[in-house]
Amino acid sequence: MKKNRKKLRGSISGRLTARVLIVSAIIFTLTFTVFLRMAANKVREEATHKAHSELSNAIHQIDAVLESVEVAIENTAWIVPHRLDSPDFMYDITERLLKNNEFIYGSSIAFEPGYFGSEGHFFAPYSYRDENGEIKSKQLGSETYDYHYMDWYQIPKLLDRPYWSEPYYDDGGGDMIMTTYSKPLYDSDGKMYAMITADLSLEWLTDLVGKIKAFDTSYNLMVSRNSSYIVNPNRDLILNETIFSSTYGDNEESLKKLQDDMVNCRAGEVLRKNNGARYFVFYSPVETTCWSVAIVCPVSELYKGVKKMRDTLIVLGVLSLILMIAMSHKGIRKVVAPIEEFSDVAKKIANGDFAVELPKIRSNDELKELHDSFEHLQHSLVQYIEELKSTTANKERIESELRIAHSIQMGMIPKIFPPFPERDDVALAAKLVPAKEVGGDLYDFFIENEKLYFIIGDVSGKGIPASLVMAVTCRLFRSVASHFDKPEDIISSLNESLADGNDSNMFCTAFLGILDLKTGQLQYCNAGHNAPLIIDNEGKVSPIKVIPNLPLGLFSGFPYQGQETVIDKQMMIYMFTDGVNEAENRNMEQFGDERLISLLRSNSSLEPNEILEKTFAEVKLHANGADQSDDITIMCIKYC
Amino acid sequence: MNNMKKYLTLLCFILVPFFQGAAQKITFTPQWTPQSQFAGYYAALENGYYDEAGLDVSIVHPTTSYSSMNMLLDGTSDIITSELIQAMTATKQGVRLVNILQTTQHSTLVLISHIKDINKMADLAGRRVGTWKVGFSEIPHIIDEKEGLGIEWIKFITPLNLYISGAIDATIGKSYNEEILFSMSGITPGSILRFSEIGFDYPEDGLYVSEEFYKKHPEQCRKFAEASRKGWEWVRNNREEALGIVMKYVKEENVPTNIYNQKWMLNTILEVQEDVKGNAPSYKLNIEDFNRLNELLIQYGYISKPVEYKGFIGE
Repeated sequence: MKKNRKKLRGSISGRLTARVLIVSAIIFTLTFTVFLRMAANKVREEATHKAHSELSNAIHQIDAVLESVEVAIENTAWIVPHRLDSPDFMYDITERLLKNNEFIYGSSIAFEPGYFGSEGHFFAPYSYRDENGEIKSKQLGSETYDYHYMDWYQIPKLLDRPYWSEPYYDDGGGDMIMTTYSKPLYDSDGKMYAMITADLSLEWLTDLVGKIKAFDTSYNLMVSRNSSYIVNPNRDLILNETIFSSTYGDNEESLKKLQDDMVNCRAGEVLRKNNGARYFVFYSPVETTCWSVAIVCPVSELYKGVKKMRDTLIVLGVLSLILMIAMSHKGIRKVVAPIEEFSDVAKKIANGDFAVELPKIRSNDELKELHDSFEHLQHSLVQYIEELKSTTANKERIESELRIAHSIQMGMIPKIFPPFPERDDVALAAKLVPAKEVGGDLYDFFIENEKLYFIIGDVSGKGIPASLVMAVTCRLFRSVASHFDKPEDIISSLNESLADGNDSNMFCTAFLGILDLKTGQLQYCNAGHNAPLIIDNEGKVSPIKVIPNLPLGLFSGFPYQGQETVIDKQMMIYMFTDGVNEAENRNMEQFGDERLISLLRSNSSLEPNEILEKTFAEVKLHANGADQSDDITIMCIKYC
Repeated sequence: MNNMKKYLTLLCFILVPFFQGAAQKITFTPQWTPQSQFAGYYAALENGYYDEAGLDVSIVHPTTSYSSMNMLLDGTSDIITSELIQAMTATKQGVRLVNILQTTQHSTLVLISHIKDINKMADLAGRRVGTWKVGFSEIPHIIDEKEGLGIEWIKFITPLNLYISGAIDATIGKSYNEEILFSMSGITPGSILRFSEIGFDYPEDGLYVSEEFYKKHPEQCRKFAEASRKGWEWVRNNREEALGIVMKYVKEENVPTNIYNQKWMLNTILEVQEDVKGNAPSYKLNIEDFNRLNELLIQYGYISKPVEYKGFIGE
């Protein structure tokens, strides 16, 4: 199981499935969140609309009732100034008001202190309905009930306009909540002399507001301008608590908004928390009195549809994700299975089984391309291996032949040193190190009639072509040299032979000399080769003066010019090919003539073979591991 | 006849001890309708402290328009609570009062205004300002008179709706009552001026009897004061239970209030019973405070000669 999990995590299918899961989960979550948010907003909008619609209906009814009271007072008030001659008639007026308006509970015409001198300080005829509904009348004012300081009297008097009192419990009516509409009455001088009032029981209002059923579990409130509850499901709170009592000291934003809106008679809605539960409070003012009617709805009630939808969506989402994971994992597994097979095939091919059967791909997609690539790889590998086998065989054959050619070439040049051990008038050392198996450098010498014939040369190019020209040149020198006395003749003869049929324009530089071992006279001819160096017995090193002429094999009939000089005893003739002075190190820096001359100068006392070894050692040191790019040949002759 | 005398004498001997041990009937009237301001007296009655002192106390509240002073004057009440300044000037109403217990030590008087930035009484010159019909507002009145501010005083029984309706520009109130009540009613005042912060910090609530009553019943007065003090101390240590008692009285009298309002009121009242340093209440009227108020009343011409501390304080 653990292994499987690891495999799942480590596999492409596992990673792809995980990625699909994560991306899908994010998309699902985002989509659900946005959807639910939009749904919640829509629900809230509709709830707000519904709540305010219900509130508006109720408020219209309330306003209609309140306005009817105002009209009743208006229709009655005009009688008062006409009957001021009879204080007792005021009772008739209030009684008639009650008789004509069943919804009015009580009415008074309360006069300013001592208005009727005969009636005393307090005179406020008052009619009301007793518990049996009969209309009774009494004089309201007394020392213990100084109505002049009651809100219903004092406030409209100070404001100079009619006024609806804030609701209050009626002392006589038990639990009955009342409000009083008061209208000041003015005499001809504009001085207020009385207040005519109508008391309205608010029981109907409690019923009306209580009956609003905007939502299943919502309840309704009504508060007066001083924020006291007029309607509340908990009757104990009515006129005892305000909507801000229990939250006194809180500084919450929603409370401030509620406070601000209600004080300024504005409609609105806020979200409130109470005992851990959240509620929407939709409120709207009664225009006539600025009391606020509110519908309180638990958020859970409002969003219960959305919550149900959310729960369903979560279940559906989770199920969808599980199904998606299962299906996508299976699908991905199916897609990547051939890759695992290709992996096995690749291992077998790596182990040399080029003919392994490839997985069968029927689709025409990337896997088909992979299959074709593998097939092409198989064919290419088989072909390549075949070619490699053939090439390797050829190479081995050529290398074998080259090894033979090398032996043959080396066999063509003298390689036994000292060559003339029996003689004490000449010491000679020579060495040829080809850059490849076979090279184009050459040297040769022989003594005949007490004359040392010698040649050093360098064929253009390298490898087999150059080695063939070298072989020809060496053979010609051996066969031709002894037939001529002068080096230029030998050179000319060599030139003619090499130039003849030289379609490939191969050529060979050469320095050919004949040293008379008796006299020290040296005859020589240079054919485009480096001028040899003379090392005298005092250690002085100087090049032999040479006429360059042309290398051998280029132009038939070229008139080569010979030269001659005399070599003193103990002097050495140092000849070399350009593989010495032009030997390069890794920085492409050449060994150089100066360094060669300096080397020879400092080793002038050495014997030819020692000088030769010294030179090779120094060139190797200079090359410092760089590949030898040209054949290196040195021949050094000391006349003794 | 002789026999009759004997029987009567015997009856006297039997009844005299009985009457002597009978509880003294006392009618007590706090200065307002039931609220936490009087929690200590309710607690003393409910916890039986008055009974233990041999007093048969009944609490009779005033109405909002007929004050405790009126009830003392008309003989309804024997002991009342009153503010110091009212008690000191009670002679104007024809009675000399004796302080038998001083409960609060600071002014709780505030001036709640629609107008912003009211820092002194003069800022309300010529305005309509509410004031209790039954008193409690002597200091603002004497400042107005002395400084000639021409304030139009509007007497009220309760100021809340008067203030909300806009009929007055400002109103006198108490920090333990109106200030809390207004806030709980959704009102954000333009400014609140505290008299304790503008040089008029004087003791307020205390227990008073008429000089006549005090001379007749000094022992009962002492016992009543002691039991009341015990009641207040119990309240200080049992606020939640005390609130329950207050609410019982509130409901009995049908006073429109609530436990939150009463709780904040009780906290404020207990706070002003302490001295400025927050020390435990002394329940005594400090002579320095008394003299300061005497000086103020004379300076502002409210009384012509100082009230004697000695006669004013019960022994």
